Amino acid sequence: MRKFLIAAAVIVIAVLASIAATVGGALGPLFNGVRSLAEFYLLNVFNPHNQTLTAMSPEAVTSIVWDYRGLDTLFETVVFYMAIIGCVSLHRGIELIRKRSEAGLSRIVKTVTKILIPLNIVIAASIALHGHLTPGGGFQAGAAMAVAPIIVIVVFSRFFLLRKGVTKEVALSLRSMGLLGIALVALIPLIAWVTTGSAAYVMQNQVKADSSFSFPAYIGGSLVSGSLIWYNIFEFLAVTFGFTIVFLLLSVDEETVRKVLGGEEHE
Amino acid sequence: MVRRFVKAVTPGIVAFLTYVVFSGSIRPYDVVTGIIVSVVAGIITAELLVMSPTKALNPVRLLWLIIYGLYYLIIAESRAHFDVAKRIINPKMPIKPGIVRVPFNVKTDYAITSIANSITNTPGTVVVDLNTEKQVYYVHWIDVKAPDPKTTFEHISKMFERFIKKVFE
Amino acid sequence: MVDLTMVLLAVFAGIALFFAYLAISERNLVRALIYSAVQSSAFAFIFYLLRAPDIVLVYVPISVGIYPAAILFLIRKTKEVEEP
Repeated sequence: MRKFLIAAAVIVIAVLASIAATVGGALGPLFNGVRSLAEFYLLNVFNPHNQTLTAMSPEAVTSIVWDYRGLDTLFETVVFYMAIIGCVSLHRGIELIRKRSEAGLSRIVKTVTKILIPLNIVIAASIALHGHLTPGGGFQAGAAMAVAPIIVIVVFSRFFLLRKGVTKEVALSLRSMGLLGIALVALIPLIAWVTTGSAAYVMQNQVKADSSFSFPAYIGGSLVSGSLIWYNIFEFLAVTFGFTIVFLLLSVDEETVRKVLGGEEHE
Repeated sequence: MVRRFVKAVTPGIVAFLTYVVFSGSIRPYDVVTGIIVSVVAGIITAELLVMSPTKALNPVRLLWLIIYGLYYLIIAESRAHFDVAKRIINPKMPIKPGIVRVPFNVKTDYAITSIANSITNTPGTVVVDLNTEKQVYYVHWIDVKAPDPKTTFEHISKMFERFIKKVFE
Repeated sequence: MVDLTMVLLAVFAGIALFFAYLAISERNLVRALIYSAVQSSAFAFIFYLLRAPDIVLVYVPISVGIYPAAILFLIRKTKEVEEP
């Protein structure tokens, strides 16, 4: 009871402090106008008249994430894949056996789940393919897509997923394809440098002051925002299967893991 | 292989409609990407979702599904809501809760699931579990009239099953 | 100055804080996880109110799907109840 009172007191103090901070203006204006930094991006993210500064995408966040601050995102992606590689190497030697199994929840839950899978796929794909137009993008879409293998593992068991062909090897290679795609899109400007001799930058999207290379901003009359759509698609692929590998490995029961990784005792 | 493509038609159409609705626009870009994505999604899930392509593409079954939807949302739901609301308002609260067996006479997964969800979504009855070998649902019923299978079937799932059989069986 | 956004922000922040307390003080790890997931969902609403739809789109699947699933798998590998 005493603990609960302390916690309640902390909550009340926190709420009062935050009210004082926001109403009293201690943190500065919250929704007051547009700052100069925001003004720059709002003016330039989609600006066909100033090709050297624009990303040709009406979505400011994706433009910043994959164009203006592209290298930051690349390193974030690398950190995420390091974590997945760590998980895979911790589970080395564990074979994901495929066996027939009727495990899982009841038939009603299974039926409802399998209806939801195609809807999950298209919604995630929509988030990825509209990442340069509306809020969303590769990582968001990958996280939404990764929910599908998770619910399949929980509702049907992992043997079902393995039987349908989503094995660790398949997921690893698709994830590597995604990473390779990101690297290729980042390096394509260098091809222009080799062939034409004009300057080019890694992760360049549109033309720059001293470089004439540019990804096509429109394909067949539809806005694709140069490299942004390709980054989103490949990131979508990589994040989806990165999460899939982790959950396939996590769903192996602890006894099997210990048998493989536990080692043996020597006198 | 051809059979798989035919099977993929129904999930593909549903996927495409979801894609367009979720994207909220229907410019050429959305249509082209939507067709690509829904073809992929349809082929991936075809074997899982569709057992018999002729049944999935039969317009008569779709018509029955629409009729069933109207019957369910307008008649069955309002009747059940009125019934439960009366029990709540009544000062004596005339409830007699209990879990009863309700038999079903359908085979396919979709039919079993639709009947179970129809029972659960109407107030007053909830499917707790099912046994596919004995072909019974275990239903929690707010007002148990009698526990024998004939009465429960008559009161809970007779009308649902009559429509569902025309749609899915 | 006190508009609806502020009030809703305060409400969701309060919910998040309350469930954070419950999650920390709960000894049963599965229950603690559910409290923690509710807290993350409140955070998702806060991001929405702060006009960050990009963050919301990644936060919803993470907070209600991937995060509870990952922790549940990990709990299954240990004991369900934390020992004092």
